[in-house]
Amino acid sequence: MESTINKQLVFEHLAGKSTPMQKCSIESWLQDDENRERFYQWLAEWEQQSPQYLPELDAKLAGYVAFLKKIPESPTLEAVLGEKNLSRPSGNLWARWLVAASALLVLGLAGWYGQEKLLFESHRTGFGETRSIGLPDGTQVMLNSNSCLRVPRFGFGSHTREVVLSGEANFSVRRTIDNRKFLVKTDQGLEVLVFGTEFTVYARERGSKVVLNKGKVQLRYGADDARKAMEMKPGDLVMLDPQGHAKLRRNAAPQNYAAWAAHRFVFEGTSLDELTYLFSENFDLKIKFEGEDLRQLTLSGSFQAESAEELLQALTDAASLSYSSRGDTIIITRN
Amino acid sequence: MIQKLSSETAQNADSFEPKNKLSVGREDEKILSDHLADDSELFIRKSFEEDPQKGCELLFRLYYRGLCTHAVRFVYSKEVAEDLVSELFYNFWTKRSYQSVTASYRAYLFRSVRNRAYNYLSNDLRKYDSLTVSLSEEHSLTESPEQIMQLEELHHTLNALIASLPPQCRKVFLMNRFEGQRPRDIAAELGLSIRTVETHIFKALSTLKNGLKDQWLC
Repeated sequence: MESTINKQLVFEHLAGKSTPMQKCSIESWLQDDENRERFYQWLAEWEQQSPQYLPELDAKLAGYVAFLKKIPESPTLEAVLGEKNLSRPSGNLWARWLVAASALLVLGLAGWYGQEKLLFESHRTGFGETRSIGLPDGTQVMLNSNSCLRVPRFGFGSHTREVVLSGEANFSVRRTIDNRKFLVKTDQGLEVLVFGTEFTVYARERGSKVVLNKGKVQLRYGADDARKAMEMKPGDLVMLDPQGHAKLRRNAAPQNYAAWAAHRFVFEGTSLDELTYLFSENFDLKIKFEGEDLRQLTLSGSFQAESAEELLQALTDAASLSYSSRGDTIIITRN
Repeated sequence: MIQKLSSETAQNADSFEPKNKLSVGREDEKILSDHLADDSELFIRKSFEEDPQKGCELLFRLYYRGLCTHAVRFVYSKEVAEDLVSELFYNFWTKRSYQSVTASYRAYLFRSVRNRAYNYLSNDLRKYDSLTVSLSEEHSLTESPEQIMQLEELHHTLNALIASLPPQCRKVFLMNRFEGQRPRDIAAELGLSIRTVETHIFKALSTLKNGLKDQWLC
């Protein structure tokens, strides 16, 4: 019986043309280890002869080789994701093609969990934690506190590179050989299409802002049936309210929106009331004021702080206030 | 080439599955053919002994396409198929899976991609109806001949189910899944409403789901 199994029959079987009796023979033929080897060999051959389509190989192979070179020691996956050695690709051939661009994204905090887990790798940070992540295409991401970045496990799509972000992140997007576009999506329907430049996005439940340093990005926003697109010029600041209406302002100070990446906090006439959002979003702390008028006080300046504690200390010193904490609630009082 | 295939796939209602129309047509083809004729994988094994990085690269060059086009028979989306295969290769390196390959690399890779594709498909179809198909989370398919046969049955059934869809419905479904086009773009291209496009996709998916009820390997 076994002698009747040959390549032609297996090919017919793979194409769905075998009879139930032939299937039965093939199944018993597969009991043997060597025959199983042969089966996979013929399967590979069959796929080469009758492919369903012709997958693009060169760019994917280049990406894979770059990935192999970047991680020469085969560390664990955790190490790959958390390590800084990915963040500085050594001067290999690949790197010459990559023109760095930098982007800061501050996006709504609503969770984007669950679906399509298989296809995405999630990078999460806790409150008060920032982390640098190197993506397989060479793009650098600095993830701010309480944020989640979902990245297609590798490779990205063949036409665009897409990631999904909730929270805040600073992107240093690298240009690829084939000029694939980099797209940042949010669950609020805001999309930022990067053309290889520097820009800043801020998007929270109370609204969104996008600031462009230099170069060009395209924003896409609005409800599904009425999507809008907007191209930004350097220095532009676009504000979006939760209903999706956009307002344009020129000549913002873009660098201030990326300051957190260096543990720096920049305020320009920012009210204490607005600071309560910063503390709840970044450190999960509630701020209360003794005296409602304190809310309207404004602060200007740049503060260096590694933790909520340090920031509070710096802020209250600057404004001649004092603070005390009760659990996760901070109470601010006058001196 | 891909463009040509996609229009044939989408528009030719009678011959759903393109047959032998593609060839690899490049120098890789010769390497691949020579290699496939030699079933021992001696050359690859030697590469891995010398430099695992070179070995991985060689495997990718040899099998990436075959694995993608095999996976797509199960998942019906080029993008998903390519992601599954890439993920496999990335894990192959980072988890040093190549060290544990005792039989051929080819058998390991094809077996793995079939398992991944199967798991993806079962997860994907379950999203649309959690009641009809209940499966345990893990489908660790080992090497039993019966399971190998069942996976073949699965992609044949899928193929037949898709071929059985009404032409317009099949066309919309393939544009959406296989080509990865958005409903809005399909609607514009075919002059249909988005709602109609979505209905077609939904109908195709429920046909697949119902047709596959008996196919799951539990």
